[in-house]
Amino acid sequence: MKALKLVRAFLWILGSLSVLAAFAILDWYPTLKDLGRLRRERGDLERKIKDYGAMASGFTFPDRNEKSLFAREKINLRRALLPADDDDAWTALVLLELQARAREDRIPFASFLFNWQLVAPELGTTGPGGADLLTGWIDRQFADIQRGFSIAFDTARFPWNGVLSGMQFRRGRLARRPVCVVAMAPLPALLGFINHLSWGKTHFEIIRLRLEPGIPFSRAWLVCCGNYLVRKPSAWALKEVPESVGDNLLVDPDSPLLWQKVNPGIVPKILKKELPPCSGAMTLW
Amino acid sequence: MTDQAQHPAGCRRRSLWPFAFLLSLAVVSLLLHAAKFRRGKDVLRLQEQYAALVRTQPIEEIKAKRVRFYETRFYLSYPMAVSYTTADLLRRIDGIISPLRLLDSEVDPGLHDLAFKLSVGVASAVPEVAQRRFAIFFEKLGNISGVTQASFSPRARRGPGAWSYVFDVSGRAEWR
Repeated sequence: MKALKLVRAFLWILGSLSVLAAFAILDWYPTLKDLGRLRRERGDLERKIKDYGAMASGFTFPDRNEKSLFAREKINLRRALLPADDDDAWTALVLLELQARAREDRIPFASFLFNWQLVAPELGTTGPGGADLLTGWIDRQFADIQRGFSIAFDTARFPWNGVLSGMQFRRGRLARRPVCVVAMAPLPALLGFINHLSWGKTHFEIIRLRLEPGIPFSRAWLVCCGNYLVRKPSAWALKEVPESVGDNLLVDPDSPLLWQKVNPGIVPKILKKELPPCSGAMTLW
Repeated sequence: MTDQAQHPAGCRRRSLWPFAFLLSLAVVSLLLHAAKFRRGKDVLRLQEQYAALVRTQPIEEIKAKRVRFYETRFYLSYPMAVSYTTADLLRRIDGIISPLRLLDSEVDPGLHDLAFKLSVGVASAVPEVAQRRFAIFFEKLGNISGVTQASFSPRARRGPGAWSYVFDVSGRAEWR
């Protein structure tokens, strides 16, 4: 009888412990885990709110003037990106602009290469046989020119892809295309032409330049790049990249500079500036 | 007799124990769930508070706008800075090159400055004289404003035509 009682008591304890264990494993433990997670989350959020409040108190929020500066710069950027229907239309615009620029700067001979294709071998205003000289020189320089073309899409050197990728352009997709300008002229005229190259609507940026001074003509080739907006599908359209890729290459996102209102003086606007007159060897020869 | 009288009450008490035990377990569960619910509500409230803070005072968004402003400004100025600096550097080199001659030059603009390479021809039969002439030019090159770095290959190579020696110079210049 006593033994039976003991067994019953033992079974009772075993059953109770099993129920307790089931509660603990299936309910209490997960709940306690959740409670711990929620406590950590609450602590994190409280800290974040506190930090954000402290940060906001030291942060200068934009006023109307700053907002208008943002808007103006956006408009300037849109204006700087030439809109074109397709790549051919852009090529035609570029050719027109470069030819006009060469004429205005009195460049006797100029050629334009769109990657491998030679266009307008002679604008010729003077000098018989000049075009042949230029074409021969292009042939000799062709490998170097091609190497110039190959660096046009080096995003580490030219991170505009990252800079511009976050912009929404309604007028088309962003495209970037290299062009080589080959010119032969007296050095002062040639230097003036190099300086003026970025003044046009195409906003050409020089990627590589080679200049061989000579008498009476110096020769130069310049691989330039132009960014434009193209409506139709383009072979030169830039791939969409996440805004984070290549972004902030120019400005450190943790810079204290960003806590204050923008100061246009930090990146002053470069104005069109003529070169002082040449006074050196080439002009004296 | 006494035993018999006490027995039903003891039995009743004993039969209540499982119920009491289960109830106590359920109470513990309830308390834990109540605590979890309360804490969850706290977290939700804090999340909303934080989101409202970010919405009303969008620091990161404004910082991104400022970054874009500076980058856009730099992007718009870059082509003209490159053109002018390149042309001006070559003009200044032309100004100091005489009596030597610039045979070839290459300019590689980067993001913050430009790299240049020059081949300078010196007409002299005597290597020491050529070296001396070149040294004068090299000193003048270092004094050109904006030139931050310049170096030359120590050995001159034989040059074409009248230019008996050719020195290769490389350097960097900052934007003007």
